Amino acid sequence: MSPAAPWPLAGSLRPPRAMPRRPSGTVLLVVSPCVLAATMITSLAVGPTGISLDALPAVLWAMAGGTVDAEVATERLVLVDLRLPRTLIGLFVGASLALAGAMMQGMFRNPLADPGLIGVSAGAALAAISTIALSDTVLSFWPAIFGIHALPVAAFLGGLATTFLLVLVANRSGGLMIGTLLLAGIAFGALANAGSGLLAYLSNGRELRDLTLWSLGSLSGANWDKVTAVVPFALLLAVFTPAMVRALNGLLLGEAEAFHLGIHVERAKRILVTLTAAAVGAAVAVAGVIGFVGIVVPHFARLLTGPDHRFVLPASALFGGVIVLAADVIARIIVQPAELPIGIVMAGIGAPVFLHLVLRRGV
Amino acid sequence: MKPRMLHTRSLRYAIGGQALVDEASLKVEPGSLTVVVGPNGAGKTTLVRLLSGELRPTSGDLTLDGRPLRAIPAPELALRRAVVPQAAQLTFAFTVEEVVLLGRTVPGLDDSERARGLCRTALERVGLLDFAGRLYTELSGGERQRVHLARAFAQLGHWRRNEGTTLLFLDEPTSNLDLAHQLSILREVRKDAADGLAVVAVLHDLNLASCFADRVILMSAGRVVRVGPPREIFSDELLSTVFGCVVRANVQPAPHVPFVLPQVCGGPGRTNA
Repeated sequence: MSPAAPWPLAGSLRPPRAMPRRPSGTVLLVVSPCVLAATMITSLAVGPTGISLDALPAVLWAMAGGTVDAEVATERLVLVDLRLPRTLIGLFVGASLALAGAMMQGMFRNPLADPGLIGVSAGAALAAISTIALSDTVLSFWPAIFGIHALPVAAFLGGLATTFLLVLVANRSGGLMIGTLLLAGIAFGALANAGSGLLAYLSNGRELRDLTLWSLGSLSGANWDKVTAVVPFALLLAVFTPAMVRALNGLLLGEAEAFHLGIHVERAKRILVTLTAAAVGAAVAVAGVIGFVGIVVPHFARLLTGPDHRFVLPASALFGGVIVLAADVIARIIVQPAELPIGIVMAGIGAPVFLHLVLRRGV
Repeated sequence: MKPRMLHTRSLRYAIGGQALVDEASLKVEPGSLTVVVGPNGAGKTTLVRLLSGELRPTSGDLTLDGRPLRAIPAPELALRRAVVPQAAQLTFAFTVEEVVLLGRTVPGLDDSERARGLCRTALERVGLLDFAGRLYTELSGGERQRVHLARAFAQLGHWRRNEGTTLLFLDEPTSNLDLAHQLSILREVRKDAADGLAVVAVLHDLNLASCFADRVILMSAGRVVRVGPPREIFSDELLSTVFGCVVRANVQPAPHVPFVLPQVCGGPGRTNA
């Protein structure tokens, strides 16, 4: 090869393939809100009482000060005080679990890192259960300080502690060991679940007797108090998550590479750990442990938008809300008039996707 | 006015009392291509990680244009220093263009049409313009290496407008490349060095080092053995001692043994063949 030869000869030997098939941004921007709206309407319209959205005009009329009869009062109770908060809580839980998953996967550079799998949700649940079980005795000061936010704050701290422990363990030898992380997470999760089980076993509390609420998740306890309780967490996530996009994208290349791109890596990791714990904590406090949302939704979002977090994070939040609402609708109607725990439905959807991920790209 | 250069004095980096780099006193000046050579474990990569600001020295001075390197905030440093890693851990399915555009996400840089232009120029320089829409995860090792070089080119796309020294670090940039690409990549980097960029590259191939380096840093056991132009460093005695094997420069190893050496010297900005 002479020095004057146009050198990129070898580079063009292989024919370039077409762009990966991703739907265009415009299509996503139009379709996604429609999907969201359709799911929300279904969630409002479906339930064992048989009350449908037809009743909504009458209910709105009654609320605006019109005449109220007994039937409208029932319909109002079901629509406005049961199904509406349930829908909002479902959206929040799905969005925050999916965001937490997307952030963890970015931080750990692995699509298998899910707060449910690596014990963060279990840690949050243990803290929440402790708060309920011990609120009459040792922890009586806690609800006194935090009021209706006592449960989400406790779950947040439980999730935070678990995540910090995980980062410590997995970072022990300098670089982050993903195998260590997943295995340590399983151990922490098992330990936290044992603690929760013990507390539930010893407790007489009405809420604790039904441990399935915590271990398999449910939106059945949704009410306006719970909606109010998670509002600060929703705001926190909405404000700070977008600021982490650049750091998350850089971290996908590696921590050193992220630093070379001008990112304060340690600071970014601390913020990400805190945001993840807040998202998981608040979700667990109102709905128990719902697995697989954090793994299925970001994976799906990446298939649609590519791995750029500018798109992965909003898409995850939106589709997280959609999938949890949809799973909740299924949980509500499939064994009418009873209800399945939503975690069973999510596991049915999520476990195959997780297996597919493991088989396709390994850990 | 402070001299424009990356300067170290008695630089030391130790883990648990064991020094990986010790007593390193060096200058890296704009407009030069410095090549670091030495046997495995000599501390070449550690030296580059120190000079690029990734590791904090245990002791010693490290200044860029007279300013302590650790006093320069990460985002500011990223505007005037890029690093091409040995191997990046990227496992997410970005397209090639998206990876290169990550180089333009440094705060203070434009993430717009101009960024796309710089990205295309950078891909053209590494011969991957046709690969812009391909998935990074489907590329071969050598192609990935060139993508990260393009990312570094894009990150420093504005370097000619920078006030002080701009640095480009390459850690074994040719380790996965075929002969033609080794040469073309180093030729591209040389062009920038001739225009005033300060380039530091770790290379294992002494012939490539000899062809392209302005200055060679020869390292052994964490210490800088000697610094100078290739003709001073590549002596039979010095190389044999440092690498622990018999090395002879400019001699065919044995009769009837094919001896391959790409003929590249005298590329742009270089006459001393």
